[in-house]
Amino acid sequence: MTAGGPPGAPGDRENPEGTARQWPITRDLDALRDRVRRHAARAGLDEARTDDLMLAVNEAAINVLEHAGAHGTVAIWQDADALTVDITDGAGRLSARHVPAGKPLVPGARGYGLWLMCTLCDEFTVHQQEGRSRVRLRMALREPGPAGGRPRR
Amino acid sequence: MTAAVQVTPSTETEREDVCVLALAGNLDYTNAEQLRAELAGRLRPEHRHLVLDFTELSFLDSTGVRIVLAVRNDVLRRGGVIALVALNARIARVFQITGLIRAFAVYPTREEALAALPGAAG
Repeated sequence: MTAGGPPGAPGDRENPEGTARQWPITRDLDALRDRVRRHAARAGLDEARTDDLMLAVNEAAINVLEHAGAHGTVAIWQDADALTVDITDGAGRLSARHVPAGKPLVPGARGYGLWLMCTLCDEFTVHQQEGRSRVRLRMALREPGPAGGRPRR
Repeated sequence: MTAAVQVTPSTETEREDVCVLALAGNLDYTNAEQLRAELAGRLRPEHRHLVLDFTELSFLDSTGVRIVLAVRNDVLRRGGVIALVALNARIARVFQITGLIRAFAVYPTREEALAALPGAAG
């Protein structure tokens, strides 16, 4: 896990060609999950990793609905290395220090969703700047090799 | 918000102390409380044990796990047992990664879940 991340507004520096698709976060989590699934399939993620990314994005959106006044956006893009999903909220209260060091006791405990995102994704960062907080979830598109492989069961 | 999870009672068992419910749909933050109320309404005083069939449940998030855990605690307070049936790979993964798979008896079929309940014949 890494926390922090490069400065810059979401979706500009890291996505210079402006190829990211962006949507507002609403309570229609079904539609959000479908979008993530479609992008993951196009990027060639296998089913297990698609499920993991879908759940992680779902948890990030819940955080926006619950803690950030329900104002936020989801942006998705793909480059040669990874499929990246940025969840940005306009409340800006979330920062890297909210990420729990270990697994919280029960679902619903503070930080549980953040712990899940961190566990499910290859890369997870929280970046706080100028009244916004951005969670970045990233799945590598190349095979991580035998040591990095994670069988489902 | 996500469409309500459909709850269908089953008459598969003649035991009056067993409630069998099939869930269908996607269980997430936006419909979890609704499901919790629905399940609470379906559990009658005579029900001691609960079998939840997940065959038609496609997705469940951390809020969904929390609701299932709360229902489990309700059943345990009755001195009963809760069994989960037919978790798909996606849902099994959520239970495994959260470690909560250990809190539940999980079976591939309703028949096996019913046969394993306390007081089952044969």
